[in-house]
Amino acid sequence: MSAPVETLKRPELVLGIKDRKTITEIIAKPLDRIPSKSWFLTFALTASLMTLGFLCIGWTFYKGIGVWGNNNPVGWAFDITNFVFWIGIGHAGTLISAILFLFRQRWRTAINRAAEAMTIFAVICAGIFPLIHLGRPWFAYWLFPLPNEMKIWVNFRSPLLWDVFAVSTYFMVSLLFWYMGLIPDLATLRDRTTHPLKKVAYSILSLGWRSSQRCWKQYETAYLIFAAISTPLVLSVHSIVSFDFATSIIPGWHTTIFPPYFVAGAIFGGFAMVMILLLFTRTFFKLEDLITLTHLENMNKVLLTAGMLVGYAYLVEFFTAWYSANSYELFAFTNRATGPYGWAYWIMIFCNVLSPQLFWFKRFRTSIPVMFIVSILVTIGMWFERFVIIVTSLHRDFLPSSWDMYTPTIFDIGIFLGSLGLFFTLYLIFVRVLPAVSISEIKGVMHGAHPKGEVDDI
Amino acid sequence: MEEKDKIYWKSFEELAKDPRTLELAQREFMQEDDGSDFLSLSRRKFLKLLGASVALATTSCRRPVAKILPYVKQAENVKPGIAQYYASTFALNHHSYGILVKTIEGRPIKIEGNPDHPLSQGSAGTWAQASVLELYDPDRKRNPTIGDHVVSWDEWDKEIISLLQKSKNIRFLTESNSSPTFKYTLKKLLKVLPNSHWNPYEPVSQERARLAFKKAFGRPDLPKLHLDKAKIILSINSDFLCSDADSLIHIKNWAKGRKIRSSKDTLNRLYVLESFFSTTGSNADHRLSVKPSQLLSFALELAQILVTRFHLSTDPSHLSLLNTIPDHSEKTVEREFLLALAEDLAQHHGQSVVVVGQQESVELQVVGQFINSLIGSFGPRVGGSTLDSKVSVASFDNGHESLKPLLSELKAGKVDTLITLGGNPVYQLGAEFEALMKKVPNTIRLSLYSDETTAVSKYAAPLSHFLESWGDSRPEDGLVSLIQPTIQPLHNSRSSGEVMISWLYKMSGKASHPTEDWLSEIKLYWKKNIYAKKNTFGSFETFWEGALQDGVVTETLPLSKAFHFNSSALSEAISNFKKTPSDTLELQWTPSPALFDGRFANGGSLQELPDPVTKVTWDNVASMSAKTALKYGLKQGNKIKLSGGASTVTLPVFLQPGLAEDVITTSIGYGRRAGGEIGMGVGSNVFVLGQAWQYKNVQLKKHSGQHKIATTQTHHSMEGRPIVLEATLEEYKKHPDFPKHKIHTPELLSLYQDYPYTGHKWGMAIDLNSCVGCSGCVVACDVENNIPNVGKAQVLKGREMQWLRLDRYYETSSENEVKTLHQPMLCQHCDNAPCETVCPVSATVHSDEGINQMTYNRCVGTRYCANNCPYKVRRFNYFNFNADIETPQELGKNPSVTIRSRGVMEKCTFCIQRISEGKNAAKMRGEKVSDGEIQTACQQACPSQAIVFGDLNDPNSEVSKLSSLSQGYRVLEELNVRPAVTYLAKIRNPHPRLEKRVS
Amino acid sequence: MTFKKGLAANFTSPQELVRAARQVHKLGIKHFDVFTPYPIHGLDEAMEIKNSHIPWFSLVFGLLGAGAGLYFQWWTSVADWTLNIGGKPHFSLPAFIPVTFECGILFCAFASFQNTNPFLKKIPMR
Repeated sequence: MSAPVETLKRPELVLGIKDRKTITEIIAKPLDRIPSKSWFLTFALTASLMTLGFLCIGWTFYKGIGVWGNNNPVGWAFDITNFVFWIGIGHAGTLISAILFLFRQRWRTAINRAAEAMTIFAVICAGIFPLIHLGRPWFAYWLFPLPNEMKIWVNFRSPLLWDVFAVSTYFMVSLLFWYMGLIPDLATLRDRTTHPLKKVAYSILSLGWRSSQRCWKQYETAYLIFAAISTPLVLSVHSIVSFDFATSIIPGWHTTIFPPYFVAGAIFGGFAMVMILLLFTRTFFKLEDLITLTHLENMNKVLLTAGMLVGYAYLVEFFTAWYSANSYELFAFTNRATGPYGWAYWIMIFCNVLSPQLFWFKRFRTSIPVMFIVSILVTIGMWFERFVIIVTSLHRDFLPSSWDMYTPTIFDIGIFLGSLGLFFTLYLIFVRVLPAVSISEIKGVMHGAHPKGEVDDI
Repeated sequence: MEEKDKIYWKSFEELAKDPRTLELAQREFMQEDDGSDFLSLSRRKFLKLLGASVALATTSCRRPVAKILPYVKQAENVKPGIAQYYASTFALNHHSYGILVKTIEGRPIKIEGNPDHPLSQGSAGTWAQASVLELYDPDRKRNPTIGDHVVSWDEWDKEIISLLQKSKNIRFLTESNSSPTFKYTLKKLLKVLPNSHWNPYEPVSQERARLAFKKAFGRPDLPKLHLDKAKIILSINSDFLCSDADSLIHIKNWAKGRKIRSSKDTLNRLYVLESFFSTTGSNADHRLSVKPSQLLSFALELAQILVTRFHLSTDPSHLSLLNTIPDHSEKTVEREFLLALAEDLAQHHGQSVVVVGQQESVELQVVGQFINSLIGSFGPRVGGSTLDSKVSVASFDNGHESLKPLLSELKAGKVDTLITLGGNPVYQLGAEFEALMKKVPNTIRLSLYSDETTAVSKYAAPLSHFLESWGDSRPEDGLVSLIQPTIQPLHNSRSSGEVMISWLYKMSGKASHPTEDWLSEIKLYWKKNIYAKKNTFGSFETFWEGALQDGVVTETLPLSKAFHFNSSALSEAISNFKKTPSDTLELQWTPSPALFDGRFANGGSLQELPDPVTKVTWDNVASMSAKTALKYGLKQGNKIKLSGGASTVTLPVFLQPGLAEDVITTSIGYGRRAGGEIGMGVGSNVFVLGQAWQYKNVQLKKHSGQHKIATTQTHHSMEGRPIVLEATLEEYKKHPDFPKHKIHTPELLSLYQDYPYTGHKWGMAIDLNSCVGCSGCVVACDVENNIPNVGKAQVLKGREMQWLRLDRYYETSSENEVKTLHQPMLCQHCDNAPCETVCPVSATVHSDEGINQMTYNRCVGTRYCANNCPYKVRRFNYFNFNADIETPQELGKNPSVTIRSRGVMEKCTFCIQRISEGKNAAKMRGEKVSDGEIQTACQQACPSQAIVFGDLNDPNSEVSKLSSLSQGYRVLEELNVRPAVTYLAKIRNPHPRLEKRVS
Repeated sequence: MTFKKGLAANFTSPQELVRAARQVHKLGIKHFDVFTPYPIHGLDEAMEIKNSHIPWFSLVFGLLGAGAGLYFQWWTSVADWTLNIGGKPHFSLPAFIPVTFECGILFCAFASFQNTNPFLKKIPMR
């Protein structure tokens, strides 16, 4: 009965490097040298986009929301589409660092730092939209429960208020989580840098980290707790964002499937964006040995799964609409697919449901160009998903008399491009000032990092 | 402590009356003020104005004093913030009705109907409502001018008088004016001036109707129409329910026959035969759309059926005349329609009436009156006939025909002085007249605006608005009403009467005080002609005070006239009748429901008022059926050139169901070239084609380019949703509670306990059966609640701000037959309001009286509430739509309603300011608010009384009673939002045979 | 805290390090520490470092946060100023859950982080 069981060999997570010092060197290299010309070019592009966005926002502040295309039935359009889009992207980072951590997925180590940074930046981008979409953005602070001269408190029954709490909590917790992960690496950088200014900065930021085992013990416990609370948090945030729609009474919004559907969509869109960023980072900084094809393939598997979950949600929506025998509901969904915005719906279906199907094949799963294109498609598709949900539901609701169309203006598009610019600009700065891959965690998953040679357990 | 004892001071120096400080303080108010430009209204002038208005308000029942009082002196009778109402009269073309002008601190801010005036009975129409905005229009002409020079009135008068005295041939071209004193004074002036003559002119004239009556009955008087006495009504190209000048009273009377309160009630039946799609047609029980050239044949065929089948005429000549008329073959839709109609008309002898549009051909109108004489419309009938044989309405020979002598004189160069008083002949009569006018050596112009006619006149002076001047009006026999000023003229203007009287005085060498002289002229006329016949025992002053207070005086009615139809008129009509080939393209005009004949073109609220049927704003369009468009390869928004003769007009194509093939309809009043910034360049002026109203053989040419048509409604079908519920009278009688069967609503449960509403619980009931869609309520709401206009570009984006809109849905059962449904839609004040729950900052909450309230100050503008509103009645200020308020427009704003700024949401408040006012008044009296005491602006304006507001907690209130009627339902009730607005389902009254054909 | 001299040693493999740490602990030396570039498995058992109290601390704060969040919502909506919003009761518990939850998470996260902060190691919270 004791026939030898041949276990499948787990793929190595770090390729070709035997030396811990080399790891530090590879990861810290981009922080030490003057950025390359291509970095500057990219930065110039993204920064210009960002500036464009801020100019458009400035004009919106000056003139009013009217410079956008929003109108009476379509009160929300690009603004909230972008908000949900970025919040969705912002879910991948915490998901990778928290949920994959809890599931003992050690392959997360190479990608979690960049993903978490991306989360922070995406949430920053997302946070802009609820602020600027207000008719009177200078009163945005009224959304916080502050005592005021009107003696009115905020309305805790409003999903928008839940958003305020959920997004700010999410931002705060993600930031702390990310920063906590950074502390040992900052200490490493502090210890090796010779630049006096950097030394001071890293010293302050590393909070006196000494890499003592006693500290590690505390650190690991806290990290686990963070992972444990971030997991429900990340699920709750997108659920709450989905409540903006699900708790309303508009056909096409008023759907109980929205929370899981939105979470699945967030994972999907977020992973696609992580993929895009990693492919760039990996190539530019020659991190192929740390961010290996195995990592990318795993990501693609997640993409495939999430894509199918999202596709399932699309189907169920139709089923429910039909099964409910509610004419308004049924119309809302028929209108999505066949109405004047049908093209957006079919872009969404193509990008989100069909394009990831390529990943059934290992050949495509491991092909860098394919995964790059699919990730971009998924990102586009996920943007359109939010557009479809928001605009098609609003533009034709209960009373046909108020049906109308929405057309974006250059300011809508400019602000969206600006948010992309802001996001990539922040990311470009990030890879220049902070280690894009976790140094300490990578060292922990190297071959022979632990006394018993284990890699996969904690 | 009395107000005036308080002295407010800013500094000790001021208190000590240090001269230097006082000078400095005064300098703050000092500005160059030559009175020439009112645009830069200084604060000082503003105060003067306020003072003047107050002074006027206190004395408005007496002579207005010329003294200007500073406001610091508290005027007697004026309580700041308390509205005062003055009875006056709104006159349009030949018609006029009584209004109440609501003034606050001497500023007119709202026009309401005068409940004591029989022609308004407390309601006010679209144009009267909007006239208060016209008063404050910054584009009005402000000073008399000679050429390009601004002059004083004295200089102007001096120049004109010397001119008049030198002139050999003087012609007055005026708009219609039903004022007896105006006519009396003008005649006096004509006598004084050598070789002078008067021509009234209106594009919407009564000329043809008068001629038809003259031919038919030997008398041009137009009898008064009593729609309330009619059971069967046939309208032939008449829009008496909307764009006619006298529609207000007709809507009221028609709606009286459309009220259903129990299953025992009956309804009148409206047949409409028309070549355009009028609001009247949209309310028809049966509507048949035909080409303009075919109307006469239909009318004759109807007469033929009435004579041959129902033997309504004993005159054998009628029979032989009518036998020549070719009729439709049996079983066709047209034939069935006419047969059913004839049957109804014959069965309701004396209770039926045929109304023919006054712009229709004389022949058609003659035939219409022939049918009226057949069906006994002229009586005699106990309880009154549908056409009044005693009372004639005011009418004039004011059309193009009557103008011809003047035109030929102008052509011959005989006229050396042309005085155009009101109206706008250059715009209405086109380039030909403009050229003629340019040839006249002396052109004198009196008008409200610097319009097209002013532009070619040498001497121009501003007319006062009717809210600024004295006047009177006689809209029909036995009724005469007064126009009294409610504000001192805002500009350096005079009323037409003041101008005439000052000429008369000055020519006879007397000193003239125009306002006082004009008032004494009116009083003199009234004393001689009205007071003298009244047989009242009181003094004239008492009589006058009473007339001013009531706004209206009744006179003894003339004797009943006999309406014997003159058969030769019929033979003439038939001999002129030729069956025209029906394959040519025909064009039909209508007056615009918003701008009438273009005189209201500078009213933003009116430009933005959606057409009741097409829902088009800021444009006149070439409406045609989809079939016609297909035939000419046209699509919505394509530009087309239409030519009827020499000139062409470019219009955008608008696809309109319910029009006959090869018919294009459009409205007049657009395409103004001058007369204010708002109206200029909006739409196209179709008057360039001529004055015919109907054109056969119209040439259509596709023009390059696409026109954007701003409609407030882009979807026209109800998509089978139970939004406007309707039934036929028969169905209703079988199932009085049919709405409950149309919406299958499970028992609506709540997780939570309902809020108790222990005090008032405000609610509304809207009777869809009597709402005609005239949109008077929309303008009333605009004015009452300071709703901004957003302009065409914003309407195109779907950002119109009207709190109350009229949804219009079509139901088509066949190509030609379109049923129309009008539904006023406003905030439903849901008890379980979905908008309130989602507002993050508690800016919209529920009051303990059941009102969904909006706190503008608290709103940050997330627009979530609007998204979550199933009725889409919330309006968002995408820009600061009030940024372009220009002096003196601010004076016309309702001070009780906040001006909303950019970035906040707004919506119907159930006129919360009126509720508070009513509650306060009741509290002061120490009583409970009585039912009907508080009226919302829309309710008050509604001529058909389709809107009823009140306390749902009071079981005896009208709104409670209406809300509990069996045909009552709430829109989207199944959502469990619990709206406070109950709609009474529409109940049509089709002819049983015709209805069967459809189903 | 009276000894003045210390001893430092460098190890090249995790196995050796763990063995050495176990030995030192067995010798009864309390004041020693191990510095590693990443947490090495089994080292804390070898050093017999006590379990952290952070989880309890976080739990308490998390519950405190949730309670405070809920109380605040109750106080603003019921106690301080009541409004009829959409016919919902003043205390709309289902609608108050999300904010309660987020408050709990936020407090918990702050507590965990503060407590891990190496700067604050000397503060008696440890």
